Amino acid sequence: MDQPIIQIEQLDFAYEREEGGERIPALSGVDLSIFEGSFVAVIGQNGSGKSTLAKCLNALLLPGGGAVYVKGMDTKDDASVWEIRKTVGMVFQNPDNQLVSSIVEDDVAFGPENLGVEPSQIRRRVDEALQSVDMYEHRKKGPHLLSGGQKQRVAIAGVLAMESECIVLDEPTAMLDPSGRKEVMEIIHRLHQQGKTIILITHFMEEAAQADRVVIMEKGHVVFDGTPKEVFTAASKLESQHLDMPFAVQMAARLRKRGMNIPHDVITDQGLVEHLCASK
Amino acid sequence: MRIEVRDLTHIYSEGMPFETVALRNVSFTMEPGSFVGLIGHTGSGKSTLIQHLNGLLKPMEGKVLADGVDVTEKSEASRSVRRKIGLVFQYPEYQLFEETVLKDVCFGPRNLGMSQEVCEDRAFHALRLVGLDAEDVKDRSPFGLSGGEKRRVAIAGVLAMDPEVLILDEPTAGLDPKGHNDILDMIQKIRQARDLTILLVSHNMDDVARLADYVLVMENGALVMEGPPQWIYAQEEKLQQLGLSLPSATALMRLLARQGHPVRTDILSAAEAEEEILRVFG
Amino acid sequence: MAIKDITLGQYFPGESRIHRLDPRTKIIGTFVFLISLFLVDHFLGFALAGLFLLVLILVSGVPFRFLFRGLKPILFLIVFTMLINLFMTSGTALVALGPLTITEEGLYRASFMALRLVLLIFGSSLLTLVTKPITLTDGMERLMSPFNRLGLPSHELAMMMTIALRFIPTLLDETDKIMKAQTARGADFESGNLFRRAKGLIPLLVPLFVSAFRIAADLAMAMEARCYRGGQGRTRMNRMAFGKGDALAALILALYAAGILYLRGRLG
Repeated sequence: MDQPIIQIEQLDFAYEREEGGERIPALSGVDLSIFEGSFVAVIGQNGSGKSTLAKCLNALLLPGGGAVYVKGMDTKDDASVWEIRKTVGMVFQNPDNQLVSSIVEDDVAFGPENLGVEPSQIRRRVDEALQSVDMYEHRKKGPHLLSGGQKQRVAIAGVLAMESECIVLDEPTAMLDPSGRKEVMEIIHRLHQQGKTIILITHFMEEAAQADRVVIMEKGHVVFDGTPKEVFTAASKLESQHLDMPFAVQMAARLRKRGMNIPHDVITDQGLVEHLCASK
Repeated sequence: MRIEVRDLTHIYSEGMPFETVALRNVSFTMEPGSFVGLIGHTGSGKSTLIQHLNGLLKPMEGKVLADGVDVTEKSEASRSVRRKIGLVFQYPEYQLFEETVLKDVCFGPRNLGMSQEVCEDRAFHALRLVGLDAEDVKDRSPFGLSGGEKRRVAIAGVLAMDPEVLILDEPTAGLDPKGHNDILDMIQKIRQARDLTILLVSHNMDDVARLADYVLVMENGALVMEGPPQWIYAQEEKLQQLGLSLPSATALMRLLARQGHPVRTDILSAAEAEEEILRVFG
Repeated sequence: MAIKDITLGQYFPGESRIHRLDPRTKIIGTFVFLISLFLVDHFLGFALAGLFLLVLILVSGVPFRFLFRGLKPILFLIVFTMLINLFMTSGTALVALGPLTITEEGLYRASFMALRLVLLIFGSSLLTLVTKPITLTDGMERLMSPFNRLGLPSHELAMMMTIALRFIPTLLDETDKIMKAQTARGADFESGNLFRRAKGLIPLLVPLFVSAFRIAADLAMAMEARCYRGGQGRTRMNRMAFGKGDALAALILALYAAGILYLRGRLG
């Protein structure tokens, strides 16, 4: 069994309100192991702690209790922070507010420049990164000329140029229109196939359903950890978490209530159609 | 209030190298009390169109008439109809600025010249209509509220002006599934409580199918399709060409129909789909 | 959308010899030119400066009308300066207009000052017309870096300028959106006296500031996530190197400066 690339042990985190010093717990006793090359989706309502968890993975936030280890390095260790952030790259929710430069290729170069990479190497990395996200022709453009989906792809390229093994995406599609969401999800799949470890924070169950593993969070706790199929089988239990189920799963549940026998592994429209056709 | 749009054309940066035709000869009518859905790609002209409806943008050609009055005229009649057209932009919570929720919601009515008493009365009603506890939030800073609450306060700010027409530009943008459903329920509640004409701009076909009784489809600045949702969502190929999707229930029924099963495809909701599937396969 | 389209710093795209010069050459050149205008003490000096500028403009391919645009905001100042010098200079009277007299010296001074102002504007406009804003900030950072040892935070200053340039279109967009949203709520940004209008800006400025802070917080986090830690150990993808064009430009600049200094004190 390989060592997990990220190991989270009994992680606690609380935000401090400035006035009155009141502490708002965001994470309690979270235990999670992320293995290299896996595609994990972390889903939950607003306030479930999923974004807080994301920021603990690259030392943007430090644990109040417990620990987070990236390739064996403790995020609380000051000396390891840069190596950790090099290993775990992050893409944020707002496409605009994470782009530093007024030229696409300069922005993608920002990461490697910070790492002190040799200039000709940077050029190579930037070009390759932009090609992997299909944004190479736009390399000289200004971000204000790009769509939301394109900006997110540039942000992803920025992380790829740092040659991070793991990419954490914190609700990357929340502010995008349907075509932008599709673009980003396609790139995520492509990167996963190329061997990157992907951690996708999302509130869309349709996106989480595309991962190998779904972790559901509620009020700072992990309440479920399993495959998408396992999640949808426990669908009724999860309704209380106000999580949207893919349409096919909702329909299957409705039909089951009316007496039809639909197996629990039917989770897509195609699957439902095939089952119904076969039953005739 | 009836809104009539006739041959509306709008061009950005006219005469300059980046001149773009944002709207071309758009014409349609919104009947009083109707709920109209406006769909189309980003960049199809939806935002530009709605800004013409209350006179924020002036057309190059064509007119927008509210109850027969041109909204761009500089007359008392025009000012009077414009006041009755409420526009809620995307991410409306970004426009909050006052020290308290009450003051912010009162901003609109104050600008209309209402007395403090009337403003507060309207503000209370509006806050309740959007599902907030008026007594609880009125003295709080809008910046201390959650994202969903802020959005509701912003919408209340527009409702407090007592519009006859309410235009909502993607009111569920950026919200999680629960927030999304809450806002949709709120819109239905508003529709029932006040007899408004509503225009909803949305990317979500399920929402439009659920709420709208008429749908407008835009592409490249032009109005390419219009009609009741049943009819619009039956045009699968045309919608596919435009890069637009179907409501989930409709998509499922179409998949079944393509396999040769005699199912109705003019289905818009999960409940209808349930009945139809049971009828054919049960 | 319309506001966002404004090209910042009025960069006029092109591939001329001037465009392709190292930004440091252009910055230093502009500096030398602007100073030279203050060393001129005779119209012939301005003639030389004007000729030098004319050659630059022609080589750059920038249409003249773009340079004249730069004058528009300063037109008032030029006219005002001219009028002051025209009427307030004592000397041999030429024309009397009631209580005010136009003197020969006044006429001379007014035209001299005006010409200097105009050439100043043209000179600085040309710099922004032939250099992209981001290239300018890069050039300024390189020029300032030797002063690091004296405590000048050249990297931080340059980073501030880069980020400001990056977000100006975004903030202009935000401003547009907020104005429209508040106007839709009946706000009036146009009528009323100065005081009223200033107060009326609050519904615009508060949300704008809040937005700006939010952008800053998000951006800081993103920069940290990408291992930003100041200028220490940073490399740059775009290397700046002086070329033959720059050597030639330096030579021409030196000749021009010599010409100006030669003319100084020899005439009038």
